[in-house]
Amino acid sequence: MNMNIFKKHPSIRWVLVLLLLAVTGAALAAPKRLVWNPNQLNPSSIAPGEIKTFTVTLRNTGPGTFETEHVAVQVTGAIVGILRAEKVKLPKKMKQGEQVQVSFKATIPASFPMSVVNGDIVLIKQDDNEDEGKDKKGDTERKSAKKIFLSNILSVSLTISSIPLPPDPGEAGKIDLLGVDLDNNGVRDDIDRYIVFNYPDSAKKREALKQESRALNLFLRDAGDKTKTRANAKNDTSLGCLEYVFGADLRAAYATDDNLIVQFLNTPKRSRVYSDANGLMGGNTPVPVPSDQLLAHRKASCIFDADSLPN
Amino acid sequence: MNIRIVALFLVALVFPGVVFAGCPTQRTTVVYVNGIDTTEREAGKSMSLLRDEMLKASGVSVGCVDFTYAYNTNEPIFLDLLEAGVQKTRELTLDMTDFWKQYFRVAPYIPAKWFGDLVDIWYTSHEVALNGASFLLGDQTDEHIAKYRDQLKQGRQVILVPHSQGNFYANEEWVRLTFQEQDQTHIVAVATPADKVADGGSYTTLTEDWIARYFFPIALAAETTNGDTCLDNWVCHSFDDSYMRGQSSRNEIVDNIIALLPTSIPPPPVTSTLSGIVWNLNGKVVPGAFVELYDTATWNLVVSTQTDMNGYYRLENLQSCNCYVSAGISAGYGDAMVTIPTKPTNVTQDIILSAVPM
Repeated sequence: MNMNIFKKHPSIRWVLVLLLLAVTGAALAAPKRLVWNPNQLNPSSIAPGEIKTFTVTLRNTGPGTFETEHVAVQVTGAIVGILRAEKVKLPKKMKQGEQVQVSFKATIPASFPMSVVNGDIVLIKQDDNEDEGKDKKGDTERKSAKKIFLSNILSVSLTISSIPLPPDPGEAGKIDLLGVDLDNNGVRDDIDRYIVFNYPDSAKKREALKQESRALNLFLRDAGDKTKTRANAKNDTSLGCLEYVFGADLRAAYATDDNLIVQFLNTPKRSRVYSDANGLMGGNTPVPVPSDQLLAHRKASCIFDADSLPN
Repeated sequence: MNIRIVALFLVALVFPGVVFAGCPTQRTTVVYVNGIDTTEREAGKSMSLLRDEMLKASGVSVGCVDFTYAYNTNEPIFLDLLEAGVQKTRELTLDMTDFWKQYFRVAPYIPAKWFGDLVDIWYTSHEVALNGASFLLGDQTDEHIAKYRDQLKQGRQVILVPHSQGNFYANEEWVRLTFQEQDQTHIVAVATPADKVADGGSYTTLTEDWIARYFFPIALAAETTNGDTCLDNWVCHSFDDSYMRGQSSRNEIVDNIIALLPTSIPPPPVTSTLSGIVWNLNGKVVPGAFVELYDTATWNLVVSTQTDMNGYYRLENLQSCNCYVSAGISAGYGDAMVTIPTKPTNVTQDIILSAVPM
C-alpha cells in the first residue's frame, strides 16, 4: 500500500480503524450461526453417584454451509469436571438448516454435596496452535481470548440432590399465582426445592412443610370464595403437624412455619391474595381441642405417618 | 342398671364437658383474641404459645382447660401496610420476601430502617382507626359470640385473652352477652388500647410497649415491665415475642388466668318464676290467654303458656333477663316489661288486655 496516502490524509487512518472496529463488533454481535436448542439445560435433580445423559440439538441457522473443522465444545463454570460432552462427531460440513444431536454426560461423584452447580457450554473455533487447550475428551477450557464463539451459550444448571427435585423454575415460577409444579405433587417447585435444601436431614420436617405448602396453595387458589377459604382453613392441619414434628419446641416449629410462608409469599400478587384470604377468616373460632388429647390431636394433624419416618 | 352409671349419665346431661373429660371442676375454655395486623395462622400460634405456658404452670389441671382463638381481621388497614411494602421493596430493588422477613421477624433478624419507617408511617396514619374511640368492629363479633355461647352451653367457663385491638372486640362481645353468660365469661386483657376491661378484670401492658405508649392515648396505664430489652427487637408489642417471652409479663398473664379457673363445679344456675293474672278492660279475668316471654337482648321467645280458668299464668325456671311479656286472645292484647333478677325471685306481673285484636 502506498503509505503516502496516510501522510496526505491522516484522517484516513482513523477511518480505517473505525471501520475495522465496526466490522469486528458486528461479527461479535451478529446472531450465532450454530444454535443450541434448548438454550438452557435445567433438568430435574441428579443424585450423587448417578450418571445421567442429556441430549441437545445443535442447528446451523446461518445462511450457508458451516465448516466444523477445529470446532470444540467449551464447558465453563462449576460444571467443569461434572459435565462432559460425549464424543461429539459433528459432520465436517453442516448445511444450512442441518441439525445434529449432541449428548452431555453428567457424572456426579458419590460424595458430592447437595448443591446447585451452574455453568455454560459454547462451541468455539480454535486455531491449530492452540490445541493444547483441549483435554483428552475434546472439552476445552477457556484459555485464550482469541477463541471465537461459534454458537450461542447453552446455560446449564444442575441440581445435585439425593432427594428427587424438580428443576428450578426461576422467574417463570413467579408469573402465575400458583407457580410451577412440574412434578405434580401439589407443591410449588421452588418451594419443593426450598424445603429439601433447608431441611435435608429431616424427612418429618420436609413432609410437614409439604403438607403446609399444599394447604397454602389451596388457600391462595380459593381466596375469592369465602366458603371454600373457610373449608380449606378448617382442613389445614399443618400447624398442628409441625407442632408434633418439633415436639416441645413450639417456637422452632413456628420459626420454620414463618420461614416457609416468607418463601411462599414471594410476589406482590401472592402477598395480596394471601392477605385477602385472611380477610375472609375474620370471625373464625375453631372448636377447642381438649388439652388432655393434644398430643394425639397433633399426631393426627399430620396427613402422613410421621412416626414411621426415620428422622 | 348400675346406679353410678345412671348418676353419671344425669350429671353428664347437665355438664357434658365436665364429666366425659374427667375434670373434677368446671371446665374452662381460654380464647385468645388477636389484634389487627395478624394472620389467622399467627393467631393460632399465639394461642398455642399461651396454652403451652398455661399447661406448664402449676395449679392447672390439663383436663380442665382447653384453648381456642377468636380470629378477627381488619385487612383494609393491613393492606395499606402491604401496599407500602410492595412499593418500598420495588424502590429498593428488594424481593417481596424481604418485606415478609421483616414482618415475621424471620431469623437471622436484623431490623431494617425502611421497614421501621413504614410501620411508623402506617401507625401514624391509622392512629384514628386504631384508637378506641372509632375502632370499627366487623360482623365477626357475631360469629365470636356464637362460639362463646357454644362453650357456655356446655357448662364451661370462658376466659377471653385479647391482645391489642382484640380488646375492643372482647369488650364489645362481653357487653353483648346476657347477665347469666357474663357471669361465666371473663377477660384477661393484654396490651389493651381500651380505657377499661369490660368485666372489670385484670390487664397487662408493658411500660416499654412502644405502640401502647404512642398510639393508645386513652388506654389503661402500663404497669408491667420486662426490663429495658425490647424482646421482639421492634416495638415491644408482640404477644408472642414480647408479652409471652418476657418473664414478668408472661407470668402475670398466666397468673391472671389461673386466678379465674374454677375450683369446683358450680351450682346449677339460679332460676326464678314469673306469674300474674290477665285481666280485660272490664276488670274480669281472662282464661285461655296466650302468654309469651321474650328476652329483649335477643328478642328470642324464652317460654310461653296459657292462663288457667282463673286468668292465672306462671312461668318457671327463668334465668336472669330483661324481658318483655305479652298476653293476648283474639279480642285483646296487652304487654309489659319485666326484669328477672339474678337471684331466685318470684316476680309477679299482671297484664290488662286492650281492645286491640292480636
